[in-house]
Amino acid sequence: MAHDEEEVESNYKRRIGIALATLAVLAAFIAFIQTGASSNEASSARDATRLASESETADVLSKGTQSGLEQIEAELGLLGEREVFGETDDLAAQFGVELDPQRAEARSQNAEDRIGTSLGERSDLPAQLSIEAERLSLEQQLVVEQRVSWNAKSSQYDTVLTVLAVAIFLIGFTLVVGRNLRPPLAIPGLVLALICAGWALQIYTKPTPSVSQETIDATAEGRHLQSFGDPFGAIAQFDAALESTPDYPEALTSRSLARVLAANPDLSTTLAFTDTSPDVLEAAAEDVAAAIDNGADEDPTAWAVASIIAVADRDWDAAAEYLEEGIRLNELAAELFLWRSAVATAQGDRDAALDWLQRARDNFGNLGEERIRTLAAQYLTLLEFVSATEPDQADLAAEVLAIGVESLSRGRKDGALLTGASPSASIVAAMVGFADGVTSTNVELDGINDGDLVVVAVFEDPGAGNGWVQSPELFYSGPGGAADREGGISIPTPRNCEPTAHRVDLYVEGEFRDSVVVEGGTATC
Amino acid sequence: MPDPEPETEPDSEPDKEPETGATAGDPQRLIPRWLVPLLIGVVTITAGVVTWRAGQLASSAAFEDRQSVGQTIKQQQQFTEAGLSTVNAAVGYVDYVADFAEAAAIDDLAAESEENGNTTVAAELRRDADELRLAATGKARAVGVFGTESVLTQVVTESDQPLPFDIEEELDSRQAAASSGITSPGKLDPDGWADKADDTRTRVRALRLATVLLLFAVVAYTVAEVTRSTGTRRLAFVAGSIIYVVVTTTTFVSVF
Repeated sequence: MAHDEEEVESNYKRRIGIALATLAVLAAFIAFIQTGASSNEASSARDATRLASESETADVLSKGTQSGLEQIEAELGLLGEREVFGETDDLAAQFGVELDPQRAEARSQNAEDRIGTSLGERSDLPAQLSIEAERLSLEQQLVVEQRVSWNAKSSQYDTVLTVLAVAIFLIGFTLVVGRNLRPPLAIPGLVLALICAGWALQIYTKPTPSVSQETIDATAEGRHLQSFGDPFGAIAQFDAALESTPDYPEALTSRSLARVLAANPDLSTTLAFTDTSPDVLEAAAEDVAAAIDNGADEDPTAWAVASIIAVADRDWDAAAEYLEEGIRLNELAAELFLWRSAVATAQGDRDAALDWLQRARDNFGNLGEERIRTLAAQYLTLLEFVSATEPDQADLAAEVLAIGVESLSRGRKDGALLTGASPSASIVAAMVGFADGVTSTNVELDGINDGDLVVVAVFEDPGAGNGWVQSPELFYSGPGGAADREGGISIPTPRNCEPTAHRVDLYVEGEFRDSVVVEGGTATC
Repeated sequence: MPDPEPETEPDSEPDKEPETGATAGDPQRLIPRWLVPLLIGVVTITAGVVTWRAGQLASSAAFEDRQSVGQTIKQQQQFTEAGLSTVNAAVGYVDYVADFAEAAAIDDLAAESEENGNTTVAAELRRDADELRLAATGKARAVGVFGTESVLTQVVTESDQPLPFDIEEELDSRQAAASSGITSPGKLDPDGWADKADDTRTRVRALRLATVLLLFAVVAYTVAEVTRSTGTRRLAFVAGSIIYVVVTTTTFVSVF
């Protein structure tokens, strides 16, 4: 009997010994694949840092070269300002000789040729550098994601090993406890061990982010084309990028924006919504939704693009949600706060509109005048869009717009704004015209008291029925005298959609005084 | 030298080794009782040595990563410095060419004046053109388009043609200048260091795998130690030994 007992005991110990040995091998194997994961994480971290540095260099050189080319273009443009290339008659009079106009023309042409060919054919260099910078930036993002993935795997393996150690303890401990206590310890131990094996397998088979080089190259090319104003070429590149990696969020977000820009060619310059047809917006919305579902939910750009589409679609609730997601990820983006204020206006929520406007102003911080003017122009344009598309909220939009202008005026004046200043101020005459990408304006004001702060905002109608747009170039704030400069002023305002009308608004010390509409050309959008 | 183990154990259970008399000096055992625990110890120590080496190599890989990253940053700084200064020089060169183009136009105007009989104006214009070229050359040198020697060549030869400027040559020479100074970091090879780190990590992985395989040898020896079956003991002993010898030899010859 005692011999049988010993035999049973001996067999049990042998089985436990084999189980422990098997679990030790399993633990060693998991430790081995954990080493692989942590090695990959270290390599990814190194590559991510290197790519960040290379991408930064390419970006700086791209911008530097672009700036250099712009200076060369400016040099060519200013050639006519040099005395020797001036009017032939003036030169003839100055030197007291007769000059041949054709020979003068040849002199100018010769000089232009010399300057134009001085550096050879290098005009594609900034483009190459820009694409390279985009490509490296995309590769860097991918490697960072891979690093995060390997880090997660490595940490998860650590957890598995810890749990497996508990399982080994439970099983091994049964060797020193009474027979009755063995099952309550051994069974959970074995179950844990099995769970660990399955868990490790699940971690091992989970894919790490991977994108083909062709996809990255095409996305980089597309982004370059998009930033240089060719959304159609960009869409073709993004289509090619998404062929091999259909859920690549970078290409999806960019294609979404490119679709909107292709249909609304002045959107990036004046925020003019000229085509809000459902087929355009649905395709763009599908792209950005897919991007957000596939990892772009932590990218503020994706939320900003989603909100642009929602605004164009007048889905104000969705726009509010997307903007708040964008603000959550980038709380310094004053733009998003202003957009949120305009959306609150469309929703009829006056308090929220003013609160978001105030929060935007709080974010202006050290922004320069040019940047603030751009932001203000976007805001005024959005409020006009709300007025045009939500007639029920037109009064509120007008009120918020006036508050916005007052707020801007306050920022331009050292002291407090005067109430009721220049009460009879008016626009006596306004000439506004657009031709060849240049807007010429001549505005004559009357009734402005000396020292009063004047705002003259010129709006334009792209002719799509979605309201007026305001561009930062056509916004003046300052003393009244400068606004009606004799002879008027001409400002480069490149447009794809020719304005069908202009509206000139006059504010004095932040208060509305007068408005005049000037008819323009025929709608081209 | 122990006696050879009999083919069949003199026991009622022929596959079981006798419980009694199985001591270190038991003449009935082919594998002495002390050998398997000794080998388990040897394999464990070998695995420990392999693990130590893997840790050492992992540290080397970290160092190589750091070298790669550090050299990448230095290399990119040099690229940026050389690239931006070349762009600035190119812009300066265009300005210089524009001045020479203007001077050429003034010369032509002078020629036209002379053809029309106004030699005084022509002489003044030619002087203006020469002064313009001289000023342009001085300015180009000042902003770093040309070195002193090039400028001297221009002045001495009184050439009315602009000096040549090759943007690629400029970029190469500025990069070379950035890397050849006395305080320069010398020859940079960030890709080489990255490849080296990857190779080292491959060795680390191989050493870790060797440790896992050595553990199989330990398991086999453990089975040989605890089993009562002679056949199993012999099989496990042989398996453990083969694993140990093959893995150890391969590891020390190739990746250690």
